[in-house]
Amino acid sequence: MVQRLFQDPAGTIPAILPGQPVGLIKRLAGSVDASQATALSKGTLARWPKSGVRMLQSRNVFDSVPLGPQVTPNFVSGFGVSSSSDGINVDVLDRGYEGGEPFIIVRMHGTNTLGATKFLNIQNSDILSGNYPITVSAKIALLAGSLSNNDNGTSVKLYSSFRRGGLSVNGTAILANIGPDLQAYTANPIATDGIAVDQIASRGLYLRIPIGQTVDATIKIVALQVELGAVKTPFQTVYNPNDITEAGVPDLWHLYNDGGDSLNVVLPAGTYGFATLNAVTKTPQIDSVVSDGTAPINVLRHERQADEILRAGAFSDTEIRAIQEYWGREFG
Amino acid sequence: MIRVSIAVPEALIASANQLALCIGYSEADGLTFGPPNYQDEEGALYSFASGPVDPAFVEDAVSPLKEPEWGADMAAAMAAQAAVVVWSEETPEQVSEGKIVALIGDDVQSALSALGLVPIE
Repeated sequence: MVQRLFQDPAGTIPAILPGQPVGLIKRLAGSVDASQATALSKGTLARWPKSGVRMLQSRNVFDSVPLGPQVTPNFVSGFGVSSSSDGINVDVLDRGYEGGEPFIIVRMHGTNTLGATKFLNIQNSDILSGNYPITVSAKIALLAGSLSNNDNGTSVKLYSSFRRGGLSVNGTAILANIGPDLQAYTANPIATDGIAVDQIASRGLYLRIPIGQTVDATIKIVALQVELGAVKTPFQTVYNPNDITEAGVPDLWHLYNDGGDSLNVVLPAGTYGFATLNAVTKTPQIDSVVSDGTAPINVLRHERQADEILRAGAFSDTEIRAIQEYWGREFG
Repeated sequence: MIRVSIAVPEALIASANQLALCIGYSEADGLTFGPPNYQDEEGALYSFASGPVDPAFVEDAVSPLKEPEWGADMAAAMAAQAAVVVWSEETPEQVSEGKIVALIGDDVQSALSALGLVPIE
């Protein structure tokens, strides 16, 4: 296969991995290539599952979480892991992948000196608007120590909640009766409120420690996922927003445009058929563009773009149908 | 590769482009920051740019500058460099008219939220 994507406009550094910039797309035929020399104006090579992305996290792997005592809260995992505080120590003992699914092992130990119920979280938060259900799920095991299965004791819960007007509206959390073997849990879905906009939403897992209680529990969490919809679906690994995979589902490679990116061609004066494929909706945009022979034309016109065709002369109706059918087979 | 997102107040756009010439990869990096495309909650305007770069790009932004082979206004570049702050969870900088804020992270929408920027109305 001929390498067509490069990080630099000179075409010396191939772009082959998610997250790499694309400074040159070499033509399949014809006489011009599309290029971008300004570093922060280059599109980013990305891959998503062809089935689309269901996970809401910007990252759901734990391989960047520092091992050992958590001194400060960290968000590098995409989930915030609470730090040691108020008499409770939080130690990350291990993290990695098991069967392709990300896991983390956390030990929480000490006595709650907060003077109130203490919550230690592995959660993420962001701003949401709209009205749709969210489902939180994970596989959890208690590797050492003990936990209560009583809502008033030291217990583990999955949850989803959002905040409106300064007040928390909590989604239903389940009480996880966790044992030494990994079990799958799914919190009851919560629908965000379509009336309010820009709600702060949090979801994940927490350890609840009542006032004055002593705890020593080592918990393993595998495939912690937060997704759109009212039911749990197969896990998608989110390494970052431009690198998402799902076992058994082909990758859809595409270019990500953060809003300020472009890939430019300078064409001889004339009319050109111009077709691009939106990688998210799988919808083609097929029309034409006129070049004055001098001004560059940007071929990157979707936030996520899977393919583009540019050729001299507008497309006929027959050609438009052929492009639609071809892209339907290749990317559908 | 890391992704860096940078917000530049309108008055510092020209200087920031000179800084980009110093730490960038080619003369084309003098065009990094275009006309304002985002605003803060008070309506002040900013040019926002984001992209994958070598970690050295950010390190160079806070290190002594060297004039590149394609030339740059070093006084303007140094003035912009003096305005650079790096966002972190411990010091979550918000944009303001005197600061060039750089944020390292993969999620562009989260970066915009963290910086307090919205598209220009």
